[in-house]
Amino acid sequence: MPQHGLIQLSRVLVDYLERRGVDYVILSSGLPAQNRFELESLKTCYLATTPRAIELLKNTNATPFENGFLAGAYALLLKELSHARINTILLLTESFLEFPDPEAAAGSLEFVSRIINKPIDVKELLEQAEMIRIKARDAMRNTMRGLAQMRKDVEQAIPIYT
Amino acid sequence: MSWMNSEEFDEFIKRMRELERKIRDYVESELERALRTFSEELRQVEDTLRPMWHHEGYLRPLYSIRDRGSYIEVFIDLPKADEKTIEVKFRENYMYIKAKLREEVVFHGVTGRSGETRFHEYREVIELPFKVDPEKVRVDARKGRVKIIIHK
Repeated sequence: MPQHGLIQLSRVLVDYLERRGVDYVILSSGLPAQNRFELESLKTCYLATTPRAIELLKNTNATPFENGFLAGAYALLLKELSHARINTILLLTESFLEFPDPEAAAGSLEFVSRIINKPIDVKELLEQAEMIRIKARDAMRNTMRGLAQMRKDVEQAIPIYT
Repeated sequence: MSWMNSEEFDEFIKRMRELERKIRDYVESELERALRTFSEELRQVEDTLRPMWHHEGYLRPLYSIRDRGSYIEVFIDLPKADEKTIEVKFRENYMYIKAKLREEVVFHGVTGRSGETRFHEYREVIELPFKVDPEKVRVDARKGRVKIIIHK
């Protein structure tokens, strides 16, 4: 999706959430890890828009996302949700940048399960992981092209200020 | 040029030759740069338009290349591949990847027609930035993903 379309989409979504009077929003995305190939257990960190959102995480071992910056669809969505003062948590689980990563998606869902205190069965997702990776190749190739357009690769660069 | 003596004339010609050499070097380097850019863009267009599968029954895997200074890392995603059958070969600056699938994968309607297409292996040719010495290569496969370290 072109960048301008993403801006409009995130505004429309947040407008809809406001009108529905949604109390909490939990977003889930990946955090590209350079050493993902070697990683067995994946860490999840978070960004929250309000103190009430942070309260939701008190029974988890989530760590805040302290360094780095966010680009793309989730950055736009988080910005709009923050402006609208909607309690939002963005979960970022270590993942591959260039490949579909169903294992990371399952890790993130398990984290959501702990936040909402309700079981989420990820068994089928993990069983289907390889087939998802095969089917998602075209979508991933297109995503990488979109990311290159947004110069998302800057995320991988050494930050000027730490 | 009757006002030039022989020495001055030789000096003049020498400076003209030097100027000619500089112009040739500049034109050649600019042409080389333009050709490099063109072939990189052409490769990207080819990569974008070429389907991720072939009607002969093989799939093209996703891959990425990272330059780490003294070596490069090539990551290849090979879900459902039988790791024992992964073949990595080199010729000049090209890497040839082949791996059999543990079981046939069947997709319906991928060719734009009804009916099914069966896939039994992965194949890909990856252009690398330099000629590879196979002695300086390390291959590591885990969970259907391959990391290949190639020293420069």
